Amino acid sequence: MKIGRSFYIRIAAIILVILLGVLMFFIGKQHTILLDNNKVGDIRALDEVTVTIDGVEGLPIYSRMRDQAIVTGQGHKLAVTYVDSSWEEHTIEREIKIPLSENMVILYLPYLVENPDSPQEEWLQHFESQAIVSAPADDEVVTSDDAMLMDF
Amino acid sequence: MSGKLDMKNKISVKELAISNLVPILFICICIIGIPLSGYSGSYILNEVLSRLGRNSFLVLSLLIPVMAGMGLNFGMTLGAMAGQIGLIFVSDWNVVGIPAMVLAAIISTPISILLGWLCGTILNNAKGREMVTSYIIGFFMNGVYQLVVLYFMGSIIPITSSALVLPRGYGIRNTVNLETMRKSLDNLIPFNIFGASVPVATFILVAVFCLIIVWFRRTKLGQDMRAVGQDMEVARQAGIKVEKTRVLSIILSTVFAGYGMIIYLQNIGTLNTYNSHSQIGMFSIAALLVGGASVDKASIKNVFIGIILFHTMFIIAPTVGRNLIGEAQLGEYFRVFVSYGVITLALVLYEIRTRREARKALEEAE
Repeated sequence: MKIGRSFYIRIAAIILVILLGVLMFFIGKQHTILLDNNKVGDIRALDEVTVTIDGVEGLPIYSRMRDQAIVTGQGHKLAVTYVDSSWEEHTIEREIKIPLSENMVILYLPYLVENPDSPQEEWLQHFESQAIVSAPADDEVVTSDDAMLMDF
Repeated sequence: MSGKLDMKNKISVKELAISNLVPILFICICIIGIPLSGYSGSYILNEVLSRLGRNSFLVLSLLIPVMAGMGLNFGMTLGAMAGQIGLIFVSDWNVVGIPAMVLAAIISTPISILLGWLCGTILNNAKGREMVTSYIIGFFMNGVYQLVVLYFMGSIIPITSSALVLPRGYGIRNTVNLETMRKSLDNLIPFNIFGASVPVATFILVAVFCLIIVWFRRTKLGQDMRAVGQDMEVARQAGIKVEKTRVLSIILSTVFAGYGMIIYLQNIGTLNTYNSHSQIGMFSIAALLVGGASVDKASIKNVFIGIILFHTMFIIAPTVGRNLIGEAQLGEYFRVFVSYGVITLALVLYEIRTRREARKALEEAE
Protein backbone atom coordinates (compact mmCIF):
# COMPACT_ATOMS: atom_id res chain seq x y z
CA MET A 1 0.00 0.00 0.00
CA LYS A 2 1.34 3.38 -1.05
CA ILE A 3 1.25 6.03 1.64
CA GLY A 4 0.75 9.47 0.10
CA ARG A 5 1.56 12.97 1.30
CA SER A 6 -2.03 13.57 2.36
CA PHE A 7 -1.77 10.67 4.80
CA TYR A 8 1.08 12.38 6.65
CA ILE A 9 -0.77 15.70 6.58
CA ARG A 10 -3.80 14.03 8.16
CA ILE A 11 -1.68 12.34 10.83
CA ALA A 12 0.05 15.66 11.59
CA ALA A 13 -3.34 17.40 11.84
CA ILE A 14 -4.65 14.77 14.25
CA ILE A 15 -1.52 15.05 16.41
CA LEU A 16 -1.84 18.84 16.41
CA VAL A 17 -5.46 18.64 17.55
CA ILE A 18 -4.55 16.19 20.32
CA LEU A 19 -1.74 18.49 21.45
CA LEU A 20 -4.16 21.42 21.43
CA GLY A 21 -6.50 19.39 23.62
CA VAL A 22 -3.69 18.62 26.07
CA LEU A 23 -2.72 22.30 26.13
CA MET A 24 -6.32 23.31 26.83
CA PHE A 25 -6.45 20.80 29.67
CA PHE A 26 -3.33 22.30 31.24
CA ILE A 27 -4.29 25.95 30.90
CA GLY A 28 -7.99 25.51 31.67
CA LYS A 29 -7.75 23.24 34.71
CA GLN A 30 -9.25 24.93 37.74
CA HIS A 31 -7.92 24.45 41.27
CA THR A 32 -9.22 25.58 44.63
CA ILE A 33 -6.61 26.75 47.13
CA LEU A 34 -7.78 26.77 50.72
CA LEU A 35 -5.95 29.51 52.62
CA ASP A 36 -5.75 28.20 56.15
CA ASN A 37 -4.81 30.38 59.10
CA ASN A 38 -5.17 27.80 61.85
CA LYS A 39 -2.61 26.48 64.28
CA VAL A 40 -0.28 23.90 62.64
CA GLY A 41 1.29 21.65 65.30
CA ASP A 42 3.19 24.02 67.58
CA ILE A 43 3.05 26.92 65.16
CA ARG A 44 0.34 29.32 66.22
CA ALA A 45 -2.05 31.07 63.83
CA LEU A 46 -1.27 34.54 62.53
CA ASP A 47 -3.27 37.51 63.82
CA GLU A 48 -3.93 38.83 60.33
CA VAL A 49 -2.68 37.80 56.94
CA THR A 50 -3.49 38.87 53.38
CA VAL A 51 -2.84 36.56 50.46
CA THR A 52 -2.34 37.85 46.92
CA ILE A 53 -2.41 35.34 44.09
CA ASP A 54 -1.35 36.47 40.60
CA GLY A 55 -1.80 40.09 41.63
CA VAL A 56 -5.34 39.59 42.93
CA GLU A 57 -5.45 40.57 46.59
CA GLY A 58 -7.82 38.70 48.87
CA LEU A 59 -9.55 39.84 52.02
CA PRO A 60 -7.60 39.73 55.32
CA ILE A 61 -7.67 36.32 56.98
CA TYR A 62 -7.74 36.53 60.75
CA SER A 63 -6.62 33.98 63.26
CA ARG A 64 -8.40 30.58 63.06
CA MET A 65 -10.07 31.48 59.79
CA ARG A 66 -9.98 29.88 56.40
CA ASP A 67 -10.58 31.45 52.98
CA GLN A 68 -10.36 30.06 49.48
CA ALA A 69 -8.98 31.19 46.15
CA ILE A 70 -9.98 29.67 42.83
CA VAL A 71 -7.24 29.65 40.21
CA THR A 72 -6.83 28.36 36.68
CA GLY A 73 -3.63 26.69 35.52
CA GLN A 74 -0.75 25.29 37.51
CA GLY A 75 1.85 28.03 38.02
CA HIS A 76 0.98 31.02 40.20
CA LYS A 77 2.65 33.89 42.01
CA LEU A 78 1.87 33.96 45.69
CA ALA A 79 2.42 36.88 48.06
CA VAL A 80 1.64 36.51 51.76
CA THR A 81 1.54 39.73 53.76
CA TYR A 82 1.38 39.50 57.55
CA VAL A 83 2.06 41.57 60.62
CA ASP A 84 4.43 40.19 63.23
CA SER A 85 4.29 40.59 67.01
CA SER A 86 6.08 43.93 66.82
CA TRP A 87 3.49 45.23 64.29
CA GLU A 88 5.91 45.17 61.42
CA GLU A 89 4.56 44.20 58.05
CA HIS A 90 6.33 41.47 56.08
CA THR A 91 5.69 39.95 52.68
CA ILE A 92 6.75 36.51 51.55
CA GLU A 93 6.72 35.96 47.81
CA ARG A 94 6.78 32.50 46.33
CA GLU A 95 6.00 30.81 43.07
CA ILE A 96 3.74 27.82 43.50
CA LYS A 97 2.99 24.97 41.17
CA ILE A 98 -0.21 23.07 41.83
CA PRO A 99 -0.10 19.42 40.75
CA LEU A 100 -2.33 18.86 37.72
CA SER A 101 -4.30 16.07 39.37
CA GLU A 102 -5.29 18.16 42.39
CA ASN A 103 -8.69 19.80 42.40
CA MET A 104 -8.27 21.20 45.88
CA VAL A 105 -5.15 21.99 47.89
CA ILE A 106 -4.66 23.55 51.30
CA LEU A 107 -2.07 26.21 52.02
CA TYR A 108 -0.97 26.33 55.68
CA LEU A 109 -0.19 30.03 56.06
CA PRO A 110 1.36 29.90 59.58
CA TYR A 111 3.72 27.12 58.46
CA LEU A 112 4.80 29.10 55.38
CA VAL A 113 5.42 32.23 57.44
CA GLU A 114 7.42 30.27 60.01
CA ASN A 115 9.41 28.37 57.36
CA PRO A 116 9.49 30.62 54.28
CA ASP A 117 12.30 28.66 52.62
CA SER A 118 10.81 25.23 53.16
CA PRO A 119 9.77 23.17 50.11
CA GLN A 120 6.28 23.68 48.74
CA GLU A 121 5.15 20.16 49.70
CA GLU A 122 5.37 21.05 53.38
CA TRP A 123 2.86 23.90 53.34
CA LEU A 124 0.79 23.20 50.21
CA GLN A 125 -0.91 19.83 50.45
CA HIS A 126 -3.68 17.80 48.93
CA PHE A 127 -7.09 18.35 50.49
CA GLU A 128 -10.07 16.06 50.20
CA SER A 129 -13.31 17.99 50.33
CA GLN A 130 -15.79 16.62 52.83
CA ALA A 131 -18.51 18.96 51.57
CA ILE A 132 -21.84 17.34 50.88
CA VAL A 133 -23.02 17.90 47.34
CA SER A 134 -26.14 20.00 47.42
CA ALA A 135 -28.09 17.75 45.03
CA PRO A 136 -30.68 15.51 46.73
CA ALA A 137 -29.57 12.00 47.61
CA ASP A 138 -32.34 10.36 45.55
CA ASP A 139 -31.78 12.42 42.45
CA GLU A 140 -34.32 10.82 40.15
CA VAL A 141 -33.20 10.68 36.56
CA VAL A 142 -35.68 12.02 34.01
CA THR A 143 -34.99 10.53 30.61
CA SER A 144 -38.40 11.02 28.98
CA ASP A 145 -39.20 13.75 26.50
CA ASP A 146 -40.93 15.80 29.17
CA ALA A 147 -38.91 18.78 28.11
CA MET A 148 -41.47 19.62 25.45
CA LEU A 149 -41.60 23.16 26.74
CA MET A 150 -37.86 23.65 26.89
CA ASP A 151 -36.40 26.94 25.82
CA PHE A 152 -34.28 27.16 22.71
CA MET B 1 -50.03 43.00 -24.00
CA SER B 2 -50.15 45.05 -20.80
CA GLY B 3 -52.96 42.80 -19.56
CA LYS B 4 -50.72 39.79 -20.08
CA LEU B 5 -47.92 41.50 -18.18
CA ASP B 6 -50.29 42.34 -15.31
CA MET B 7 -51.39 38.71 -15.20
CA LYS B 8 -47.78 37.59 -15.17
CA ASN B 9 -46.98 40.05 -12.36
CA LYS B 10 -50.01 38.89 -10.39
CA ILE B 11 -48.96 35.29 -10.72
CA SER B 12 -45.38 36.04 -9.73
CA VAL B 13 -46.54 38.01 -6.66
CA LYS B 14 -48.86 35.14 -5.73
CA GLU B 15 -46.11 32.59 -6.22
CA LEU B 16 -43.72 34.75 -4.28
CA ALA B 17 -46.23 34.94 -1.43
CA ILE B 18 -46.77 31.17 -1.49
CA SER B 19 -43.06 30.38 -1.57
CA ASN B 20 -42.48 32.78 1.34
CA LEU B 21 -45.63 31.89 3.23
CA VAL B 22 -43.85 30.79 6.39
CA PRO B 23 -41.69 33.93 6.84
CA ILE B 24 -44.67 36.16 6.01
CA LEU B 25 -46.77 34.33 8.60
CA PHE B 26 -44.07 34.84 11.19
CA ILE B 27 -43.62 38.51 10.39
CA CYS B 28 -47.37 38.91 10.98
CA ILE B 29 -47.19 36.98 14.28
CA CYS B 30 -44.30 39.19 15.44
CA ILE B 31 -45.98 42.46 14.35
CA ILE B 32 -49.14 41.55 16.26
CA GLY B 33 -47.38 39.90 19.19
CA ILE B 34 -44.70 42.47 20.09
CA PRO B 35 -47.13 45.22 21.24
CA LEU B 36 -49.28 42.64 23.03
CA SER B 37 -46.28 41.29 24.95
CA GLY B 38 -45.53 44.69 26.45
CA TYR B 39 -41.77 44.07 26.27
CA SER B 40 -39.47 47.01 25.67
CA GLY B 41 -37.49 47.22 22.44
CA SER B 42 -34.16 46.92 24.27
CA TYR B 43 -35.31 43.76 26.07
CA ILE B 44 -36.38 42.09 22.83
CA LEU B 45 -33.16 43.25 21.12
CA ASN B 46 -31.07 41.86 23.98
CA GLU B 47 -32.88 38.52 23.88
CA VAL B 48 -32.77 38.23 20.08
CA LEU B 49 -29.04 39.03 19.99
CA SER B 50 -28.32 36.49 22.69
CA ARG B 51 -30.37 33.81 20.92
CA LEU B 52 -28.90 34.71 17.54
CA GLY B 53 -25.46 34.09 18.98
CA ARG B 54 -26.26 30.84 20.71
CA ASN B 55 -28.31 29.22 17.93
CA SER B 56 -26.71 30.36 14.67
CA PHE B 57 -24.00 27.71 14.68
CA LEU B 58 -26.55 24.94 15.23
CA VAL B 59 -28.84 26.14 12.44
CA LEU B 60 -25.91 26.76 10.06
CA SER B 61 -24.86 23.13 10.52
CA LEU B 62 -28.05 22.14 8.66
CA LEU B 63 -27.02 23.82 5.41
CA ILE B 64 -24.50 21.25 4.19
CA PRO B 65 -26.88 18.23 4.01
CA VAL B 66 -29.48 20.40 2.24
CA MET B 67 -26.79 21.24 -0.31
CA ALA B 68 -26.15 17.51 -0.84
CA GLY B 69 -29.85 16.86 -1.37
CA MET B 70 -30.31 15.02 1.91
CA GLY B 71 -32.98 17.34 3.22
CA LEU B 72 -33.16 18.64 6.75
CA ASN B 73 -30.81 16.70 8.96
CA PHE B 74 -32.85 15.68 11.99
CA GLY B 75 -29.82 13.57 12.84
CA MET B 76 -28.04 16.70 14.06
CA THR B 77 -29.11 15.61 17.56
CA LEU B 78 -26.32 13.05 17.27
CA GLY B 79 -23.80 15.88 17.10
CA ALA B 80 -25.57 17.57 20.00
CA MET B 81 -25.13 14.39 22.06
CA ALA B 82 -21.42 14.29 21.16
CA GLY B 83 -21.05 17.91 22.26
CA GLN B 84 -22.76 17.11 25.55
CA ILE B 85 -20.46 14.16 26.18
CA GLY B 86 -17.51 16.51 25.65
CA LEU B 87 -18.98 18.94 28.16
CA ILE B 88 -19.56 16.20 30.74
CA PHE B 89 -15.89 15.22 30.51
CA VAL B 90 -14.54 18.75 30.83
CA SER B 91 -16.85 19.36 33.80
CA ASP B 92 -15.48 16.24 35.46
CA TRP B 93 -11.90 17.30 34.79
CA ASN B 94 -12.63 20.75 36.23
CA VAL B 95 -11.52 22.57 33.10
CA VAL B 96 -13.13 26.00 32.79
CA GLY B 97 -13.74 28.89 30.40
CA ILE B 98 -12.71 28.97 26.75
CA PRO B 99 -10.19 26.10 27.16
CA ALA B 100 -13.10 23.97 28.39
CA MET B 101 -15.10 24.78 25.27
CA VAL B 102 -12.17 24.00 22.97
CA LEU B 103 -11.44 20.76 24.80
CA ALA B 104 -15.13 19.75 24.70
CA ALA B 105 -15.14 20.46 20.96
CA ILE B 106 -12.02 18.31 20.49
CA ILE B 107 -13.57 15.45 22.47
CA SER B 108 -16.85 15.73 20.58
CA THR B 109 -15.21 15.65 17.14
CA PRO B 110 -14.32 11.93 16.87
CA ILE B 111 -17.66 10.97 18.46
CA SER B 112 -19.49 13.20 15.96
CA ILE B 113 -17.49 11.76 13.06
CA LEU B 114 -18.36 8.22 14.13
CA LEU B 115 -22.05 9.01 14.65
CA GLY B 116 -22.20 11.04 11.43
CA TRP B 117 -20.63 8.22 9.45
CA LEU B 118 -23.11 5.75 10.96
CA CYS B 119 -26.04 8.04 10.21
CA GLY B 120 -24.83 8.82 6.67
CA THR B 121 -24.32 5.15 5.88
CA ILE B 122 -27.84 4.31 7.06
CA LEU B 123 -29.27 7.24 5.09
CA ASN B 124 -27.57 5.97 1.94
CA ASN B 125 -29.72 2.89 2.31
CA ALA B 126 -32.85 4.98 2.69
CA LYS B 127 -32.56 7.32 -0.28
CA GLY B 128 -35.60 9.54 -0.70
CA ARG B 129 -36.58 8.99 2.95
CA GLU B 130 -33.61 10.72 4.55
CA MET B 131 -35.50 13.06 6.84
CA VAL B 132 -37.77 10.53 8.51
CA THR B 133 -34.87 8.07 8.74
CA SER B 134 -32.57 10.63 10.37
CA TYR B 135 -35.39 11.53 12.77
CA ILE B 136 -35.72 7.91 13.86
CA ILE B 137 -31.92 7.50 14.05
CA GLY B 138 -32.00 10.41 16.48
CA PHE B 139 -34.42 8.51 18.72
CA PHE B 140 -32.38 5.33 18.44
CA MET B 141 -29.13 7.08 19.28
CA ASN B 142 -30.84 8.81 22.18
CA GLY B 143 -31.31 5.38 23.69
CA VAL B 144 -27.63 4.55 23.17
CA TYR B 145 -26.66 7.94 24.64
CA GLN B 146 -28.79 7.26 27.71
CA LEU B 147 -27.21 3.84 28.11
CA VAL B 148 -23.73 5.36 27.99
CA VAL B 149 -24.46 8.34 30.21
CA LEU B 150 -26.77 6.61 32.66
CA TYR B 151 -24.95 3.29 33.10
CA PHE B 152 -21.45 3.42 31.65
CA MET B 153 -20.31 6.79 32.97
CA GLY B 154 -18.99 6.39 36.48
CA SER B 155 -18.74 2.61 36.13
CA ILE B 156 -16.88 1.74 32.91
CA ILE B 157 -16.06 5.30 31.84
CA PRO B 158 -14.24 7.06 34.69
CA ILE B 159 -16.19 10.04 36.02
CA THR B 160 -15.14 10.94 39.55
CA SER B 161 -16.78 14.25 40.41
CA SER B 162 -19.48 13.78 43.04
CA ALA B 163 -21.25 16.80 41.60
CA LEU B 164 -21.77 14.85 38.38
CA VAL B 165 -22.22 11.22 39.39
CA LEU B 166 -25.51 10.03 40.84
CA PRO B 167 -25.43 8.99 44.53
CA ARG B 168 -25.62 5.31 43.51
CA GLY B 169 -22.05 5.65 42.12
CA TYR B 170 -22.64 5.55 38.40
CA GLY B 171 -24.65 7.56 35.87
CA ILE B 172 -24.74 11.32 35.42
CA ARG B 173 -27.14 13.57 37.29
CA ASN B 174 -30.08 15.25 35.55
CA THR B 175 -28.30 18.58 35.37
CA VAL B 176 -24.66 19.45 34.92
CA ASN B 177 -23.68 22.89 36.12
CA LEU B 178 -21.70 24.75 33.44
CA GLU B 179 -21.40 27.94 35.48
CA THR B 180 -17.62 27.87 35.14
CA MET B 181 -17.88 28.31 31.39
CA ARG B 182 -21.18 30.21 31.21
CA LYS B 183 -21.00 32.97 28.61
CA SER B 184 -17.21 32.66 28.50
CA LEU B 185 -17.34 33.03 24.74
CA ASP B 186 -20.22 35.51 24.67
CA ASN B 187 -18.50 37.85 27.11
CA LEU B 188 -14.99 37.44 25.70
CA ILE B 189 -15.27 40.77 23.87
CA PRO B 190 -17.73 42.88 25.88
CA PHE B 191 -19.85 45.27 23.82
CA ASN B 192 -23.22 46.94 24.43
CA ILE B 193 -25.63 48.56 22.02
CA PHE B 194 -28.85 50.33 23.16
CA GLY B 195 -28.49 48.62 26.53
CA ALA B 196 -28.29 45.20 24.89
CA SER B 197 -25.24 43.01 25.36
CA VAL B 198 -23.76 41.83 22.06
CA PRO B 199 -21.90 38.48 22.06
CA VAL B 200 -19.18 39.76 19.72
CA ALA B 201 -16.84 36.77 19.97
CA THR B 202 -19.70 34.36 19.24
CA PHE B 203 -20.73 36.44 16.24
CA ILE B 204 -17.14 36.42 14.97
CA LEU B 205 -17.12 32.63 15.23
CA VAL B 206 -20.47 32.44 13.42
CA ALA B 207 -19.16 34.80 10.71
CA VAL B 208 -16.10 32.59 10.26
CA PHE B 209 -18.39 29.58 9.91
CA CYS B 210 -20.46 31.44 7.29
CA LEU B 211 -17.26 32.22 5.35
CA ILE B 212 -16.26 28.56 5.58
CA ILE B 213 -19.64 27.55 4.14
CA VAL B 214 -19.29 30.08 1.30
CA TRP B 215 -15.75 28.86 0.60
CA PHE B 216 -16.79 25.22 0.93
CA ARG B 217 -19.44 25.63 -1.78
CA ARG B 218 -16.69 26.57 -4.23
CA THR B 219 -14.41 23.66 -3.40
CA LYS B 220 -14.38 20.41 -5.36
CA LEU B 221 -16.26 18.64 -2.56
CA GLY B 222 -18.79 21.46 -2.32
CA GLN B 223 -19.41 21.35 -6.07
CA ASP B 224 -19.77 17.57 -5.87
CA MET B 225 -22.34 17.93 -3.09
CA ARG B 226 -24.35 20.39 -5.14
CA ALA B 227 -24.20 18.07 -8.14
CA VAL B 228 -25.34 15.14 -5.99
CA GLY B 229 -28.11 17.31 -4.56
CA GLN B 230 -29.39 18.20 -8.02
CA ASP B 231 -29.33 14.75 -9.57
CA MET B 232 -27.65 11.70 -8.09
CA GLU B 233 -27.61 9.70 -11.32
CA VAL B 234 -26.09 12.51 -13.37
CA ALA B 235 -23.51 13.06 -10.63
CA ARG B 236 -22.66 9.37 -10.61
CA GLN B 237 -22.21 9.34 -14.35
CA ALA B 238 -19.94 12.38 -14.01
CA GLY B 239 -17.66 10.27 -11.85
CA ILE B 240 -18.66 11.63 -8.45
CA LYS B 241 -18.70 9.13 -5.61
CA VAL B 242 -22.28 9.85 -4.63
CA GLU B 243 -22.53 7.70 -1.50
CA LYS B 244 -19.22 8.93 -0.10
CA THR B 245 -20.18 12.56 -0.76
CA ARG B 246 -23.52 12.10 1.00
CA VAL B 247 -21.88 10.49 4.02
CA LEU B 248 -19.36 13.34 4.17
CA SER B 249 -22.14 15.92 4.19
CA ILE B 250 -23.79 14.24 7.18
CA ILE B 251 -20.45 13.88 8.99
CA LEU B 252 -19.71 17.60 8.53
CA SER B 253 -23.20 18.54 9.68
CA THR B 254 -22.91 16.32 12.77
CA VAL B 255 -19.49 17.69 13.71
CA PHE B 256 -20.67 21.30 13.36
CA ALA B 257 -23.86 20.50 15.28
CA GLY B 258 -21.64 19.24 18.13
CA TYR B 259 -19.74 22.55 18.16
CA GLY B 260 -23.03 24.40 17.93
CA MET B 261 -24.35 22.55 20.96
CA ILE B 262 -21.27 23.53 22.98
CA ILE B 263 -21.77 27.20 22.03
CA TYR B 264 -25.47 26.89 22.85
CA LEU B 265 -24.86 25.36 26.27
CA GLN B 266 -22.10 27.81 27.24
CA ASN B 267 -24.73 30.52 26.80
CA ILE B 268 -27.38 28.65 28.80
CA GLY B 269 -24.96 27.64 31.58
CA THR B 270 -26.72 24.40 32.47
CA LEU B 271 -26.76 21.06 30.72
CA ASN B 272 -29.93 19.00 31.08
CA THR B 273 -28.14 15.71 30.58
CA TYR B 274 -31.11 13.75 29.25
CA ASN B 275 -33.16 16.44 27.56
CA SER B 276 -31.02 19.27 26.18
CA HIS B 277 -30.35 17.55 22.87
CA SER B 278 -33.77 16.00 22.33
CA GLN B 279 -35.54 19.02 20.87
CA ILE B 280 -32.57 20.83 19.40
CA GLY B 281 -32.98 19.31 15.93
CA MET B 282 -36.65 20.15 15.74
CA PHE B 283 -36.20 23.75 16.87
CA SER B 284 -33.19 24.35 14.62
CA ILE B 285 -35.03 22.99 11.59
CA ALA B 286 -38.11 25.05 12.44
CA ALA B 287 -35.93 28.18 12.69
CA LEU B 288 -34.37 27.46 9.29
CA LEU B 289 -37.77 26.91 7.68
CA VAL B 290 -39.16 30.09 9.22
CA GLY B 291 -36.34 31.91 7.41
CA GLY B 292 -37.79 30.80 4.08
CA ALA B 293 -35.69 27.68 3.50
CA SER B 294 -37.17 24.53 2.08
CA VAL B 295 -36.20 20.87 2.07
CA ASP B 296 -34.04 21.29 -1.03
CA LYS B 297 -32.91 24.90 -0.73
CA ALA B 298 -31.40 26.73 2.21
CA SER B 299 -29.00 29.63 2.46
CA ILE B 300 -27.15 31.62 5.11
CA LYS B 301 -29.73 34.39 4.69
CA ASN B 302 -32.51 31.93 5.65
CA VAL B 303 -30.61 31.02 8.82
CA PHE B 304 -30.46 34.55 10.19
CA ILE B 305 -33.95 35.65 9.10
CA GLY B 306 -35.29 32.42 10.56
CA ILE B 307 -33.56 32.74 13.92
CA ILE B 308 -34.64 36.37 14.33
CA LEU B 309 -38.30 35.67 13.48
CA PHE B 310 -38.57 32.33 15.25
CA HIS B 311 -36.95 33.61 18.39
CA THR B 312 -38.94 36.80 18.48
CA MET B 313 -41.99 34.54 18.52
CA PHE B 314 -40.31 32.37 21.17
CA ILE B 315 -39.63 35.39 23.39
CA ILE B 316 -43.03 37.01 23.17
CA ALA B 317 -45.31 33.94 23.05
CA PRO B 318 -45.57 33.18 26.82
CA THR B 319 -46.23 36.81 27.76
CA VAL B 320 -48.75 37.26 24.95
CA GLY B 321 -50.48 34.11 26.16
CA ARG B 322 -50.58 35.47 29.72
CA ASN B 323 -51.75 38.93 28.67
CA LEU B 324 -54.49 37.64 26.37
CA ILE B 325 -55.78 34.61 28.22
CA GLY B 326 -54.12 34.90 31.63
CA GLU B 327 -52.13 31.70 31.05
CA ALA B 328 -48.39 31.90 30.26
CA GLN B 329 -48.43 28.12 29.78
CA LEU B 330 -50.67 28.56 26.76
CA GLY B 331 -48.03 30.74 25.10
CA GLU B 332 -45.46 28.03 25.85
CA TYR B 333 -47.66 25.44 24.17
CA PHE B 334 -48.24 27.86 21.32
CA ARG B 335 -44.57 28.09 20.48
CA VAL B 336 -44.13 24.30 20.51
CA PHE B 337 -47.26 23.91 18.39
CA VAL B 338 -45.95 26.56 15.99
CA SER B 339 -42.56 24.82 15.74
CA TYR B 340 -44.16 21.55 14.67
CA GLY B 341 -46.68 23.42 12.52
CA VAL B 342 -43.96 25.26 10.63
CA ILE B 343 -42.16 22.02 9.79
CA THR B 344 -45.44 20.44 8.63
CA LEU B 345 -46.36 23.48 6.55
CA ALA B 346 -42.92 23.63 4.94
CA LEU B 347 -43.04 19.93 4.09
CA VAL B 348 -46.53 20.23 2.62
CA LEU B 349 -45.52 23.27 0.55
CA TYR B 350 -42.43 21.43 -0.68
CA GLU B 351 -44.56 18.47 -1.72
CA ILE B 352 -47.07 20.71 -3.52
CA ARG B 353 -44.28 22.50 -5.35
CA THR B 354 -42.55 19.26 -6.34
CA ARG B 355 -45.81 17.81 -7.70
CA ARG B 356 -46.61 21.00 -9.56
CA GLU B 357 -43.17 21.08 -11.16
CA ALA B 358 -43.45 17.41 -12.14
CA ARG B 359 -46.86 18.06 -13.68
CA LYS B 360 -45.53 21.09 -15.55
CA ALA B 361 -42.58 19.07 -16.86
CA LEU B 362 -44.96 16.33 -17.99
CA GLU B 363 -47.19 18.85 -19.78
CA GLU B 364 -44.20 20.38 -21.52
CA ALA B 365 -43.00 16.95 -22.62
CA GLU B 366 -46.43 16.16 -24.09
